[in-house]
Amino acid sequence: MAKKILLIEDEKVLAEMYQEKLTEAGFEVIWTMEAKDGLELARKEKPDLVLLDILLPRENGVFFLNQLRKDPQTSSIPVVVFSNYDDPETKKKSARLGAEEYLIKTDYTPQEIVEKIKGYLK
Amino acid sequence: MNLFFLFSFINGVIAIIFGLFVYFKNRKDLTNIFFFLMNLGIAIWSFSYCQWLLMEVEGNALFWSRMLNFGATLIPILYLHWVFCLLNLVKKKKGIIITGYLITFVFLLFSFTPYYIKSVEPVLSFNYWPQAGLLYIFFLFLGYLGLVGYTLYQLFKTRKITFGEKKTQIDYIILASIIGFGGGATNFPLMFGVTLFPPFGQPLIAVYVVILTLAITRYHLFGIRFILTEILIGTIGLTLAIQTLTAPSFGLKIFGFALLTAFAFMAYLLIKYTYLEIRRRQEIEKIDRAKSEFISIASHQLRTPLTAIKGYISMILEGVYGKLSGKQTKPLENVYYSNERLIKLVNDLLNLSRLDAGKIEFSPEPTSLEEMVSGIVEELRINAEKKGLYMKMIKPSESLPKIMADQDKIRQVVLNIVDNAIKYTKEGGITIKLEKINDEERIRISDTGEGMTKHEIDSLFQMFSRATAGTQLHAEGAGLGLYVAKRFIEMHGGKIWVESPGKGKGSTFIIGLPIHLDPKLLKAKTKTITKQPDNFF
Repeated sequence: MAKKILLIEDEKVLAEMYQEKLTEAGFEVIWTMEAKDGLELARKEKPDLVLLDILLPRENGVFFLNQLRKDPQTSSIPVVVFSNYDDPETKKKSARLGAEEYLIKTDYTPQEIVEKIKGYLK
Repeated sequence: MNLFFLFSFINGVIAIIFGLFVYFKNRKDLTNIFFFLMNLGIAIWSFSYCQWLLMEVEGNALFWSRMLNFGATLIPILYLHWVFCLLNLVKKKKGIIITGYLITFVFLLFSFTPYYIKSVEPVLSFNYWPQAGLLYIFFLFLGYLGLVGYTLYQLFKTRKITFGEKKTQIDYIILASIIGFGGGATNFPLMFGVTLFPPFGQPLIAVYVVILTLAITRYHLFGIRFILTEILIGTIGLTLAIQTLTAPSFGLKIFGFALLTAFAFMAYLLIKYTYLEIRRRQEIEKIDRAKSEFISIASHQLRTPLTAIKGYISMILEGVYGKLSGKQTKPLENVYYSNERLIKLVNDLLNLSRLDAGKIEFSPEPTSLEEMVSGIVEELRINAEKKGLYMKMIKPSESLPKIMADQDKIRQVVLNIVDNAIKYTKEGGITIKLEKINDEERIRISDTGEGMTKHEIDSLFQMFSRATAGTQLHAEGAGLGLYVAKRFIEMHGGKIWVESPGKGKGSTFIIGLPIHLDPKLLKAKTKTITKQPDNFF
């Protein structure tokens, strides 16, 4: 069965691109633009991994991570943060909240991100 | 009149003025309403304290001591409610708030009975210090320790997931709470006959109100310094005035007046210059912040389309959208590498702006240079081979010890230099050698490229500098990379330089990093950028 990825990304162009690549790589992708919707989807869909952007409309990615970890139903879902917001403090907070990695989007091609995800899902 | 009276009076006035000030800033805002109500509790406590100090008859002193404790009982729950409004916790913590009010209501019901304050007794210099009744002990544990402690716990908890200005605001509230409630707590031992120290509650509560006001009206830190200077000057001035007015002889009164006049003049100068200095620093900070914000947001905004270009081109090149013809591949590769150049430029500019603002993080950790450099060599080997260049790594005969280094930064520097070496070398190749010389580990990156003149070497690590090879059409980069590299290496207490026997004879970049990092460099760890997007709380 295909592994399920929850993609939280508010940039439509990037979301479409990652969705396409992830689907091509054999993943089932659920996409949302907002943190709160993401939390609901995480509870409902129980994804195998969350690919999380940081700068989102309304609530941000750190809020999502914090809430995700609080809920026993979702606390163990691995999260890979990927953002172009390169801020040391945000990186630290994400690590403290159990994010597997904080990737700067421009440094990785979609294929490289797929490889990272595969590594975490092994 | 004594200092306790004076402080209580000032305290009450400050609480009312600041409470009203915040309330009238936005009368519909619940946070402001509860701040005002909490200050009202402080004012009841403070003004009753003044009245109580003036009482000469025991019965009246008992009444006012109960009245002041009535005010004190109100403070913890109103503080909790105000903080919960500020942290958006009111709905979530409704149960706690209601329980808090119920407990407080019970205490208030008994506040004028002996169960709460049983009597007044002479303690230290006070003729009628209130003595705690049985119920007061419950107030101390449930009301004071319980409600205040729980509020502080929520503040610390929220602080962990908060950024930027809001985090600073929480820091001020925590600081003010510790000062205020810590100071207030010094009143309690005397109520149980413990006279280890005098009660500091009154002056410290005034500080508490001022800091809280500044915190919620989003004044800057310098604003706090300014207000504290004014409070200090005001307190000294008032003390001098009281001493002058109550001086036992005419001569001392004249002396006191002269002293007061001189003090007033100096205080005026001090406040004036403090104000000017604060304004100047605020202006500088404003410009600095605007610059950092611009770079941070601009680089984020620039990176988004660059990510899309990089992603889609890479997917086209991988054949996700079908097989490419030989003719299509080359132009697409060119687009891809041009985009990579733009990404690198944005990264360099971001690093540069942070370095200049002194806001870049230095996080050294045990690092094996051997492992790091091997990784980079493998990563870039394919690029070298594409150009028909060799890529060689010479490891030391004995394994090098791990050193304390900021891995991200050193990796970025080495990657940048090796990448440049590939770009500027037409034939031959690149040799990377690791060695230990005295207390230093060195990475030597030699190429068989263009080489450099002495003049070029001298200006290579300056901003916007490129060697001649870099000014030719095929060369890339804005000349920021090596400048950033130099700054990163210097952060480690290391050095970076280049050697070249001359034109056409290649060049060698040498990075020297100390095996033992100077502890001072760790202490001088620079601040991180705290700018966060507006929706970060």
